[in-house]
Amino acid sequence: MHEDPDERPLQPVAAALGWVLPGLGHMRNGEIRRGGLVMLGVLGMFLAGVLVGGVDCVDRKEDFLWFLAQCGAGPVAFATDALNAFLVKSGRVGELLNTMQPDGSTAPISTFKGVGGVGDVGTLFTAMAGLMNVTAVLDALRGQRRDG
Amino acid sequence: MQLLAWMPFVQPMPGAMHWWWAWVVPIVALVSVTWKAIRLPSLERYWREVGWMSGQILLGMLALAVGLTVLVQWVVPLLPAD
Repeated sequence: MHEDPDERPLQPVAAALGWVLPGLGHMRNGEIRRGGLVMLGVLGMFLAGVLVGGVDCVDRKEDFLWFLAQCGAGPVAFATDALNAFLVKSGRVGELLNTMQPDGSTAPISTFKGVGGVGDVGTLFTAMAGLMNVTAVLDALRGQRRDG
Repeated sequence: MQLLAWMPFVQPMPGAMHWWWAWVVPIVALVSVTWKAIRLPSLERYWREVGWMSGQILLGMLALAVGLTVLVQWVVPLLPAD
């Protein structure tokens, strides 16, 4: 028999922990295995996205709307964006090439930038990870299940 | 040689777009892993449910692809041009 979720007290601490590290909120609620599976799904999706698209697939300035979805995965999204700015956009790795912009001006673009489909796949994986973690955080907020 | 020079997690994966369509499998599997972890009241039949959900999504996408191919390749060319 399923209980009414409205009767369970809300767990804001668990929700916050679930955002800081995906799955941690469920673990805080005593659902260790469930939390581990959420962690596997969300972090697996996020890391798979960065593996395919490189750190450039998380870009707070150039892809802000995608970043809104990506930051649902927690600090890992902010860390990836910071790494992108520190390593790729600064030219510390790869090479910066001056390329023509649509308005006729030139701007430096890294040779490590994911272009075409490879960047899209990375962006999609990381954004999906963020959105799935939002649902996980909301579930952790509702507290521990009594029948599971 | 290109793979040897690859810096994982920093640089985009070389050759990843040669089989771009295959990326649907890991994303569907990982979405199912997360969704079923949240939705199932009991985790007793968890992996079976994950497999079932992944299969349903993949079959649905395959059916959509077949339907759109038929529409674009055979139905649309039959329409009058003007």
